[in-house]
Amino acid sequence: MYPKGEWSWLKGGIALAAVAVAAFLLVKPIGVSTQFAVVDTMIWKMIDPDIVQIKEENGKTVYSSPNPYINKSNAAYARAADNPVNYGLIFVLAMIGGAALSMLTGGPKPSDEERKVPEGFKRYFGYKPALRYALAFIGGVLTLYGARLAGGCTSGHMISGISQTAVSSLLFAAGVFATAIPLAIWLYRKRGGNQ
Amino acid sequence: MEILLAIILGGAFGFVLHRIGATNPTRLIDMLRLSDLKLEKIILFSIGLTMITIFTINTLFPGAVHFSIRTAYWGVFVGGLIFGLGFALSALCPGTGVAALGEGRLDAVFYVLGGLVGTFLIALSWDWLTQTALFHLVTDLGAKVTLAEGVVRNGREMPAVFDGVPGIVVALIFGGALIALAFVLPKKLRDK
Repeated sequence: MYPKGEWSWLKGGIALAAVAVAAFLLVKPIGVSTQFAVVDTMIWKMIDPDIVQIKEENGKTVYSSPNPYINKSNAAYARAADNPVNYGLIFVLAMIGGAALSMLTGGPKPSDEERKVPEGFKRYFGYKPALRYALAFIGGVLTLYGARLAGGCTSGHMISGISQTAVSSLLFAAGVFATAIPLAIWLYRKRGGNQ
Repeated sequence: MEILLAIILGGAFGFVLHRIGATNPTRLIDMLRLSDLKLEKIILFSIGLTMITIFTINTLFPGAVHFSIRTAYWGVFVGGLIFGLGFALSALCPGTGVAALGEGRLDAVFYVLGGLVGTFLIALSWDWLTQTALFHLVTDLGAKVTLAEGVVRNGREMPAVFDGVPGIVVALIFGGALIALAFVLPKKLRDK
């Protein structure tokens, strides 16, 4: 059973397209996974300030980093980490508020139990919070490793990328579903003695 | 002004993800094991509608759409394969995982922490990764290839697979097919 308050697929599809189009026209295509790199750089900088290098050259602030990943694209992650009030990071933080607002204004509201172990997980594994947290954590490691290798996630590659008919994004989507569907079918199967 | 737009657009994106059920791992489990195709329908429909809308606007008002095409190298596909494994294990993805924090899901906290670790691992392995064949381009058409022509960024047009066909025609056919697929897909292909 899904919590009550969801929109129908058609209404939801129109709403999602409206947000995506607004982002295309007003600022830039929607993307999320880049901000994990920005937050990582912020945390890294707290532990080791040298990871973000700042120089003034001809009146311009030039960023660099000894880490090749943070240093790529003119050290864009280092620049964003040094200026946390930027469009990309605020966009992602605002998503948390948007979801909370939806919940408080009649959207689906998960129960306390559901917040620990989603019903779909319990269906196949039983009520096992530690197992659920462990799989969520490992899944987080893999999805972000994959997304950052691919240069985008479900938001940046699929919603934004395929809408622009980007070949790279079609390639990403093909890769994602090639492993996600078989693994999900195998992982979430009926097991003896669970229910 | 840009920060205000970030709050409005990010807020709207999180609101919609939650309101369609995409922040609910149960929905993502059912999506991936094909036992409830609501999210498939939403994704196909919204991508199709967005595609047709932005290419229409791009034809009428060139320059109005802020395109941003990512490079097509083999690591995109391999990254997708790795992403897919994590997607099935966690039943969350970066956008839905962050938005799920807003409805108080505890498993989403572990997901986001895992995501920060995964990103850190990319930063540590990047130097090695970029020297492998993963960063070879997929097609000799160029780095930022699209199917439809007319995608311009900073005054330069991206190479298109269907070069010579107006971009809006490709978008109408491809986007139209995605929308049609959203309508004809059944509610589910498998039992729960």
